Amino acid sequence: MKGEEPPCKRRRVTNSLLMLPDDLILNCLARVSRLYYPTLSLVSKKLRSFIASIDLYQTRTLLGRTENCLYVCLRQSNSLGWFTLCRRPNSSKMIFVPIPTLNFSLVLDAAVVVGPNIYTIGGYMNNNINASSNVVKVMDCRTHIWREAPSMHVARVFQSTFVFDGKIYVTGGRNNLNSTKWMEVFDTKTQTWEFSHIPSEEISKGFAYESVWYEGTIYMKSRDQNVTYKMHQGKWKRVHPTMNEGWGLSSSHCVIDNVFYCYIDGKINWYDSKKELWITLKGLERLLFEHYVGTMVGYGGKMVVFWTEYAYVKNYKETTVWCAEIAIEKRENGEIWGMVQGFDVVYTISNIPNMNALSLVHALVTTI
Amino acid sequence: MSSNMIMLKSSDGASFEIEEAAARKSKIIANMIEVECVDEDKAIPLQNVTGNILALVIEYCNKHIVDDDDDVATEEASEEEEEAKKKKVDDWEAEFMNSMSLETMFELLLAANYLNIKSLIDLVCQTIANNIKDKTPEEVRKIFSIENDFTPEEEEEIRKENAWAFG
Repeated sequence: MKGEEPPCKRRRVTNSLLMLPDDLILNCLARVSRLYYPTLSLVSKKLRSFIASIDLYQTRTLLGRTENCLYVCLRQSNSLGWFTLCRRPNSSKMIFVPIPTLNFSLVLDAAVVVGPNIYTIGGYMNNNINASSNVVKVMDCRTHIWREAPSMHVARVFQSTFVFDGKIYVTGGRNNLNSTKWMEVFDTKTQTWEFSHIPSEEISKGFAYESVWYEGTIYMKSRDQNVTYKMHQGKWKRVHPTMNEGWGLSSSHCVIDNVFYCYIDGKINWYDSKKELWITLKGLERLLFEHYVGTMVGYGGKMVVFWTEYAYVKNYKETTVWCAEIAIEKRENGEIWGMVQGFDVVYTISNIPNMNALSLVHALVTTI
Repeated sequence: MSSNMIMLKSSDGASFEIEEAAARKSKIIANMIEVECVDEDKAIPLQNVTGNILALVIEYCNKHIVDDDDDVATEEASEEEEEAKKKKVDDWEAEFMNSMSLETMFELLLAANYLNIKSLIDLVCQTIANNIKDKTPEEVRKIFSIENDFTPEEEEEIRKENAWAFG
C-alpha cells in the first residue's frame, strides 16, 4: 500500500560502539592508551568486561600497542592497597586509581613482575614479627584478578627476590638456613618451587638480603655482613667495597638502561662501574632538598620517584602522595642529568593519625 | 599496468566503476579476481555495503592505489621525500575521517571489515580510539551511544569510589 514502507527497509544503522563485532571493538580499544582504561571501565558493564579481557591485551600485543603500566602498593595504617596510575579525564593530571585488592594481612612482603603478573612473596603474617610467611599471591595486571600461587618451601621475610628468565629467585629471609635451603626458585611456567644450590657457605650465613639485576648479572647485598656479592661464572664473588657502601636495604634503587641508580642520604647516585665510584645524578638538587624520596622505579627509560607530604588543611590533616617523572640525559662529558618533567599529587587521604601511617610499599612497572 | 575496470554494485543498487588495482585493496575482491569469478560485464554485488559508504571505500582505495604505485616508482626517494609523502597521506586521511559523522565511521568500519581492507580498518579504529580517550564516562556513553547498564546502586557505588573520573 502506498505510504506504508516496511519499517526495516533501511538497514539497521550502527550508532553504538558496542554494536560492532567484538574483534573491531577490541581493535579500537587496543589503540587507546591504558592510562584511560580505568575511566572506560566505568562506562558500562559490557565495556568493563572488554577492558578486563585477556583478548584485549592479545590485540594490543598483535598491534604493537603494549605500554609500560605503573603499579604501586600503599600501606595505610595496617592495610595494604594496590593502585595503578591513570589519567584523569579532560586533564593532564595523573592519579592513583584503586584496583581490587585482597584482604592482605602481610607486611614486608616482596613484590616482583613477571610478564603481565605481579607476584608478592613472603613477609610477616598478621603483622606478627614471629610469623613469617611462605605465601605467594599473584595479580594479573590485565584483569586485576588475584590468585594464590604455590607457597615457598621456606617461610621468609627480608629475603632478596629477583627475576631472571621467567623464574623468581628468593634468597635468605630466615635465620640459620643451611646453604641448601638458602635459595629457592619458582618457575612461573610450571608454577613450581625448587631449592637451588650455588655452593657458597659465606654468602648464605646472613638473614636479610637485597638484590639487583645489573650489567647482566645479579648483585646481592647481605645486610648482616654488609658485603655485596655478584654472581660471576657460577660463583658468588665479593665486589668493590665502594659499590657495596652506596646501596642498601633502607635505600631505594632501580636500573635504567643498564645504569644503577640509588637514593641514599638525600641524593640520587649512579654507579660508574669503570671508575668504581658512585656519582651524584645532577639536576635534582632542589627536588631532593625539599622532599624525602621514598621510592623510585624505572618507567620506560625514565625515572619515576615518589614522596609523601603531611599537612594541615583547614581543620583536618591531609596526607598526599606525590609523583615526579624524571628524564635521564647522558651527556658527552660522561655526566648524567635528571630532568624533572613534571610532578603532581597522585593520591590524597584525609584524617590519618600521622605521616608514618601512609607509606608507599611497592612501585612496579609491567609492560602490557 | 592494468587499467582494467571492474564494476561494484552496492546493496541499494548503485553501481560504481573502479580500477582493478584499487579494488584489489579489498582482499575479498582480490580473491574473487584470482579465482576468476569476476565476469567483465557483470557488477560484483556487495550486499552489506550501501552506496554512500561504498563511495567512501572507493575514494579511499583510489587514493591509496596511487600512493602504492608511487612506492614502486620512487624506490630511491630520499628520506625527506618519503616523509613529505607520508605527511601528505596522513593529512589526506585526517581530512577524510574528519569529514564524516561517527555513524558513517561505524558503517565504513563494517564495510572495511566485510571487504577485508586492513589499512582502512586500522585507520577507522585509530580514529575511533582517538575519539574515545580523555572523556568522562558520561561523555563516552553519550558520544558512542553506550547504554549505562549499571544498576542505580552499582552506579552510586562507582561514583563514590571513583569520584576522580566524574569531576
